[in-house]
Amino acid sequence: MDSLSGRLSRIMLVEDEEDIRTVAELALESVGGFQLKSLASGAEALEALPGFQPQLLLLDVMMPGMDGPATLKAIRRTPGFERTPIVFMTAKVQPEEVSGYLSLGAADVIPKPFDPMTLSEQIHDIWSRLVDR
Amino acid sequence: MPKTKISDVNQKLEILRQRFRTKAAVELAHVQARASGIAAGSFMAADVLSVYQSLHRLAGSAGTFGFPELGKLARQLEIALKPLAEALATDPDGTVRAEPIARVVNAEFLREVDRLVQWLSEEGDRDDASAVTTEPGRAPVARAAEPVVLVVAPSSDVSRDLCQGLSLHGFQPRLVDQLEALDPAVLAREVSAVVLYDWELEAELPFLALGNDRPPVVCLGEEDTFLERYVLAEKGMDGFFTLPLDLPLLVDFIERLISERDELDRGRVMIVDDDPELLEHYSLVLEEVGLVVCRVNDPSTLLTSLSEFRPNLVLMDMQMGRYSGATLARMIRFDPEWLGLPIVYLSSEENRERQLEALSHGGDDFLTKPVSDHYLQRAVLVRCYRARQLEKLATRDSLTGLLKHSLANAEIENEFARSVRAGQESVVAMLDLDHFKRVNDRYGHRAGDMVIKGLANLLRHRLRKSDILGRYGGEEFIVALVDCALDDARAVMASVCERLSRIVFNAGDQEFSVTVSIGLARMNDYPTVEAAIEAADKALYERKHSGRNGVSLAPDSNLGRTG
Repeated sequence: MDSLSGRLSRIMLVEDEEDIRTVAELALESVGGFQLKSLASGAEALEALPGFQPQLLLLDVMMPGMDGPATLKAIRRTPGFERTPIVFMTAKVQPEEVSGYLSLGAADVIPKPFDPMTLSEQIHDIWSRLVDR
Repeated sequence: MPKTKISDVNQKLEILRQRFRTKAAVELAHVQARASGIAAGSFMAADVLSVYQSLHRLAGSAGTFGFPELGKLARQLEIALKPLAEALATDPDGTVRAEPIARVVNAEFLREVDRLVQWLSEEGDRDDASAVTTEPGRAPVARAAEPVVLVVAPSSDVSRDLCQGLSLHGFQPRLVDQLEALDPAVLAREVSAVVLYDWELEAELPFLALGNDRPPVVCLGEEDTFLERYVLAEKGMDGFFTLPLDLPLLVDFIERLISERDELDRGRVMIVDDDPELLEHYSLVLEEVGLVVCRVNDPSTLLTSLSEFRPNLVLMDMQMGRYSGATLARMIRFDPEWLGLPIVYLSSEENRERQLEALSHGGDDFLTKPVSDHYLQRAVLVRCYRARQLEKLATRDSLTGLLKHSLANAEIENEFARSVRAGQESVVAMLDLDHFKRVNDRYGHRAGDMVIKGLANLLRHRLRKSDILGRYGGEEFIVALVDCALDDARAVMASVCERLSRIVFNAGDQEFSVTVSIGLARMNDYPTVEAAIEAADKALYERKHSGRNGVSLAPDSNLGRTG
């Protein structure tokens, strides 16, 4: 199954701040209608990958322990998820930082703070850009 | 895709927004304490990093929770600190050099942090309307100015928990670890109470000199000895609590101190004097201490003014042209409603016999002219306070200080009539604590009382002074939100639910929490107040059947309807 086709429904979010997870759940489940699995750390995400089979991952960059880039590398080493699109969410949006993340293999970067009412649209946009490719 | 209920999402976002606000306040208090420590010369790398991380977190999340302006301000400070933090992070064991840190974390930096704190406590409310852009025309949520409690303590787990707890109970905590920078006059004006953890600092409390005008001070201590308590009492402190803190108990104590202080200066005084200059002078003197004054220059208008202004006390000149104060007093007493109203004569009559004669006509007391301004202030404040205490006994629920059942209904009736005339929208809410019987059974009635008071205090702080709060009896409360749209009422009440559920109550060494169910009805949708209350009650029971802990609307109350 090519995960990079068809409609996006399963998104995994990795974010250490509980309240941000809650807002993202509202934004993506209630507003966006996605199926979301949100986890508090990279380690938890790696464990949940095979069971949930996300089509796209949203990773917070600054997390204690395994940070966003480290989580990305570990996901890339997980069989079946070598090509799953990964989007970083970060408050660091200096151009050189963004290009740094993209060169790590991120599909895109969503700047924080995000607007809960439009986050889904942003993700839809990113998804359609990826699928169009 | 499931059908989205935007109003539900907004309601949940509002709750998260409130929660973020609470957390941001605590986070900022820590930034403030640490940054001033750094600026004062304690250069711990960990402190610099923790300030940087806090600012980074705020910059990245404030906008998501509807505080974009706060995020921007935090971002500016974050950027200023960034080179330093990155250098420290890559070389944590390296020698921390004071000079570059002092260049960044300087007086200007501290002022900016103060601005952030200020912004969150004041501008945050104003920002509400613009922050939530998803519902056009959405009015800001009705909310009271939460009383500020100054926490004087070193930054620690205890102070963090204390600040968090105070926020949950509807206070605005402000954490400081040094006192020199504080302006006594500002403190006396803005701060409602002080909690002093590091009470060695007591000597530095800048506002002790303000005497009676200072906010009450509660001390925390590790040891509980007679001597310690005596010393604190001698120093004029207002309370003492030992660690570990029973937070609900402390909060209730602070609440009592604040409301006593409020009542002392919120009295209503009518001054009757035919000399316009004297009348104006007395009025200004009393207004200076916060009393609300009604000036009556022409005694013939006395009775009308009386029923409009409803004073707690009347201050009356003895001789006014053709009118005698004593006779006017007797006339006031014709009306049974004013039998209990204290009437104090202001007179140059020094003859005790004649004074007594005047008192027998219906006055209560004499103040002999000339009277010093200060004496007049104290004398009237004290008498007003007593009068209000007496009135409270009759009208207020003794446990919570909220209106008693019948009086709450009468007030709501009045208010409703007034608001309909003014073309305003008002909402009535019925509240009932969930499984309250279990609280009493398991933890005892004292714990149950703390819960009742906890909810009452939370309502008092979250709602506006103009809203009407009543205890209906037992664990049931009634609230009328005056001039308030249904959406806003729901958001406010949802935040009350959310906060209450996060308060930890103590019974001995057990901890527990409680929830509340709330039913709302828009008063304008019903022909009478009783019908609206009944509808809110039905909504409340609907909420009880569908899981409790939350807000339900009466089916006839339509969101978004206007007028």
